[in-house]
Amino acid sequence: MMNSVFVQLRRRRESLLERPFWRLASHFVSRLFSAGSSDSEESALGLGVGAILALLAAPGGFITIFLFSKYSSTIRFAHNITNFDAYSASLSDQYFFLAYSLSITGIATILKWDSIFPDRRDYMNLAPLPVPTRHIFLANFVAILSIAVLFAFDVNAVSAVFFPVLVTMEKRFADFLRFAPMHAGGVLLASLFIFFALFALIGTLMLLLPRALFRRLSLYLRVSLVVVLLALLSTSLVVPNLIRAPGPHPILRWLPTVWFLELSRSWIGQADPQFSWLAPFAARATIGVVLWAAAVYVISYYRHFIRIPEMLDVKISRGNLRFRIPVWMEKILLRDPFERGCYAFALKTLFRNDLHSLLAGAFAGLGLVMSSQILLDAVTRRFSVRGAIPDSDFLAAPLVLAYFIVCGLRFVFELPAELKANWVHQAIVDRDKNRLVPLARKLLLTFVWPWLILLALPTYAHFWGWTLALEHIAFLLLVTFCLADLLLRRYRKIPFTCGYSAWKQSATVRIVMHGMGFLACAAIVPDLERSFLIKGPFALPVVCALIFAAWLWFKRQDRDEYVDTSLIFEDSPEPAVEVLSLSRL
Amino acid sequence: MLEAIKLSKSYAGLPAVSNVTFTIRPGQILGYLGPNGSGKSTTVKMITGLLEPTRGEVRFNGAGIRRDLTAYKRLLGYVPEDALLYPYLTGWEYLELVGTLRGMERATMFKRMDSMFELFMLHPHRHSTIAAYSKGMRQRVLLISALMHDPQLLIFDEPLSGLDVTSAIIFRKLIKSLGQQGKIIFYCSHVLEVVEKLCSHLLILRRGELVAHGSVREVHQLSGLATLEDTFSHFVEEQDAEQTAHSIVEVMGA
Repeated sequence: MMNSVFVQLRRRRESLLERPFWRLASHFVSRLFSAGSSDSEESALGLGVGAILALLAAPGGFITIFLFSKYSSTIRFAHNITNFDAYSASLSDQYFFLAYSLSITGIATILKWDSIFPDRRDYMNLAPLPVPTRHIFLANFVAILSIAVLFAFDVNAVSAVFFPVLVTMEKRFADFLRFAPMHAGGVLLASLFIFFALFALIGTLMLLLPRALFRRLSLYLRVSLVVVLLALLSTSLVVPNLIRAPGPHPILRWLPTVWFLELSRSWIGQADPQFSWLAPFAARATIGVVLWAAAVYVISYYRHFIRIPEMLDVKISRGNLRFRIPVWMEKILLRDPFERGCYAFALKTLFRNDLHSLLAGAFAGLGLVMSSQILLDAVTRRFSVRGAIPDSDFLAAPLVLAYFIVCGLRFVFELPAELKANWVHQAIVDRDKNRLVPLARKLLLTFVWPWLILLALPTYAHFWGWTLALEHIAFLLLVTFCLADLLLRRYRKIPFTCGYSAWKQSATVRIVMHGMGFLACAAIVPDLERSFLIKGPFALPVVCALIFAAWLWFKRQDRDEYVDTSLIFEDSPEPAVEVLSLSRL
Repeated sequence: MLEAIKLSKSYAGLPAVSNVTFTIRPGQILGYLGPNGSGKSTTVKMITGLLEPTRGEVRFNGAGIRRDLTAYKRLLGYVPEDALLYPYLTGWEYLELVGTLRGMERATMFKRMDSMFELFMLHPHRHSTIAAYSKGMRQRVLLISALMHDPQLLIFDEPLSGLDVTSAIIFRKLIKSLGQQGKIIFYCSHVLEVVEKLCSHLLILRRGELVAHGSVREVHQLSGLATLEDTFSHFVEEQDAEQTAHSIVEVMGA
């Protein structure tokens, strides 16, 4: 029975795809999921449609599982919690799911920012074909709508079903039937809202700004929007308490998450009287951005797509910033022509490639959000910034930011940029003579040490005096140095030039390890540092010296064990079965 | 018959092409020559219907092409200068997309695709993504996409770019055969040797203006020179090539 339904559906789909319009719409959908504009097979993250959808959907499922302990009556009984109202307790979780829905859909849209409108490639391939322009226009619009709905469903699919199950598991089935559609409606509407709001923003900027300025601003704007969306997600820790507090906080009315929270809670009769007036605003805002996006699409489509062949003959420079470190500093920091050449190449690649800049910016943004959260948490818990020794949270904030920057850059180094162009390195560079770890370490620390010394040092000196500030920053410099070195262990690639990303093979292990590293930077290391600071002014320098000695010993051991240091340009995955080659012994 | 009548195109007031007029009859192959920036690509875009002329008109079989652009494009096969394809599609999927959008009958389309992949030596790679194709393979995919619907008019913009010797020889013979079949062929290239061997007529463009037009013999007679290379240099070269080469060698040793 099911089999015949699937066969029927497949036949229906195939017959639909034989018609030019639907074939074109399907093409635009797959184009939105594909790598983008680069011709290089390995240039993007290399994730298929299924992997992207699974990645977007998975966190919602995991989070719902974690919430089981909160709503389980058995666990509550074990903790002797008697007065529990599931609807009231679900406010913070509902807020989180809304923030999650907005952030993830928003970030996915920003990553696909360049593919939303047809580009030069589309024009060159489609315009010479006997397809009326209005069909291309409508097919792309259908594709955008389909993607918006697909994203919205995918991001919220698991949580929209299982979260209502958790909330209403001690109630009647009718309560589930009432709660589930209301919650699902809220998160779906939030996803659609952010998708169309960002879509409208791109279109409006394309209309208002000259093309060269739009291209120049686009990258910075995208990185900023990712940071804003991550900050929105992090409000989940603070905003629910502010909603419950008496007296409405003025900032809450500006948060889309609060609008949609009040909308879905008003549907189940649980709206907060202070904010219930925001509920209709959510629906109106969604309709508004959809109409705005549609209007902007029509105008910008005809203004840009039709004019692409004219623009092809007018070369537009992105107007990249030209940066060069002073010669004297270059001589001190970069010891030979290989380091000087590769350092400049890596910096320019990082800043001028959209995907690389965006990912590095997203990691830095996440770090900024997390460290702000730690600082905010410390301030709201009334920790004094005027004590002799700062609280661990004050010590942790710069370390957490540095951790995210270093890990983010290390990850981005693995992504090739225009792989076919790496022949120039292969042809010129001596593979056996040059060492990559010192160069890559300098690149990583370029993004951490300057702000630690120029911003963090005077800030700590202002609040806790120069002695403590110098000790703390020296400790951070050492920790970040060791962290960079650890992440670069056995690194033998020029950043952005190697074909295979090892992270694909061991992504799960790496994510777990990085999670543990985050816990260490946010809690364990600052607590240890504080305990040494309490012991007196000489304790931390002695610890630093010991760490440095341990690092030197470790490096020596590692060098003795691992002899192959030649550069590689084509990494290969570890074999599933390793041959011991005992006959060679 | 394809006619370009006083074609002109300006970008922001700056003329890219001025008053270009020519006619190509069935069976003729027009070689379109000119240095970089002379307006060749702009002309190609105007006769393919991608770009609207500022002044003048393109006519096909007596009717202005912009009256029914979709109908005109059904009769057109075009190989652009850049092999800008979708890297995530396989060669087969790309041609299926093109064939479907052209409204080709499915069975005919698949039969022709299969034969063309075989003849263009791409059959073993038809299910590999275009990202993995070499420049020559991409160019062959473009050639198939321009030929598979049996068009009346063929416009080639640097079609030999990246092709290996065998493919280039096959392609040259193919163009000759298509010309003999009565197809109208517009051939834009920098490779003078190929143009000289292939084309029945020549048009030389310089700074957007037509400087020579006629049969190959007429153009040679106009310049009074024996080879196409000398004729081309006579009409368009602005600097002494030999002197420039010497200067480059001097700079290398400086």
